[in-house]
Amino acid sequence: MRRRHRRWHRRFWLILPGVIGLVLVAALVLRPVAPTGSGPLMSGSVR
Amino acid sequence: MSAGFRAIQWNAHKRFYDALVLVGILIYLAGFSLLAPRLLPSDHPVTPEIVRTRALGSCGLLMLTLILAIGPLARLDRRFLPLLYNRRHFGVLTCLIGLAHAWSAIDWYHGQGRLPPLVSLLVGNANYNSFLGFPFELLGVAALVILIVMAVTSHDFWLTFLTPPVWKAIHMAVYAAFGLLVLHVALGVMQAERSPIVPILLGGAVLLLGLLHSQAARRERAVDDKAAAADTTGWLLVGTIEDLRMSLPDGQARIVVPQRGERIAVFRNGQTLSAITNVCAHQNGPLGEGRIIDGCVTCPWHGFQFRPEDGCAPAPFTDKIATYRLKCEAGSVLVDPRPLPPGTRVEPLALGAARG
Repeated sequence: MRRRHRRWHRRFWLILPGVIGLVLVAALVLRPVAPTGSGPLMSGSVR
Repeated sequence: MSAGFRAIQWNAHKRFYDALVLVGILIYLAGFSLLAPRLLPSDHPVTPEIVRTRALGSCGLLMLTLILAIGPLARLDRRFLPLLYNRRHFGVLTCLIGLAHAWSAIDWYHGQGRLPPLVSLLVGNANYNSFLGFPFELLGVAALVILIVMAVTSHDFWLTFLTPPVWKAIHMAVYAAFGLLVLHVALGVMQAERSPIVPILLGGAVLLLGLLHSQAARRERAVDDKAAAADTTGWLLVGTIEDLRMSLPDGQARIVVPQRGERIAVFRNGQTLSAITNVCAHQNGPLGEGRIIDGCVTCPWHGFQFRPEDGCAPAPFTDKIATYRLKCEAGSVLVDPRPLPPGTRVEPLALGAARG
């Protein structure tokens, strides 16, 4: 691996899990407390 | 190394490895189908089609997580290198599992409506302004498109045709695919089910990859921070002749880290020393962690070969890498950190003669 790639790689692996983790936590925290039976896999044009 | 087209490059090791992966996939799918109803209790009826879709989807995400873990694992421990050699086959199998998941989901959720299934998939959910209601299906489609492009261009023919930098840039999109898939699951099945297992496994995968890659990067940084001592003319110390003769095994390298520029691999070839760049011309693999086989330095990542004395690949291949000058002074071997043009022949330094 080139020196500049190693530097880029260090930053990338701090940012990527951070961003994904934040969205993941948001999706977890914001989800309805009780199951509605009308979640994304149960609604709209789907069954 | 060949640009000639062969459908898939298989050998006995790869066949064994592929068979092992296939058996693992089948065991996972069967195990998930048997255990999922108990481990993932649901508030609504879960049909065999839904179990099938989830088994394939979770299998694909697990495989992608493992694929992304192979790189840092191989950097942290050389025993994981065989996994690296077979990573492309694993990637193609992951794409096939992803396609099977897509087929299963489209068939069950979009196959019975008035709209054609693919149209229904693309327009069925238009909640683009909602976070939790966002069309998570499209995130999965985007990830699958990336995996398909990667699988199609995975052969060395495409590596040569597109050139390594372009090919590498395309294949770096695997990280985007992983991010898209995590969101696909977080906004899809994680919203439909109450079980804590889904967020735990999903968060665990992100955490595991983040930690592994960060740890590998930290180790590389520690090596970079230990730059070799330079003499007054800027040449770097490789080691004393006695030390190199006693502790550097034949066919292996000592890696020298300059203050700036790329690492230098000083290889022992019998009773001579030669210095080449540590960066492989193929995919920047660490040449200094490879060894000399049949007179050529062999990259530990994909087996690309270069002659230590001139950095040229053996005929009929035309790849070249930078070489470096070596000298002996006062019982020590020194290397000039300024790289010579790729393919420049440098007379190897004789260890026996170089007694200082």
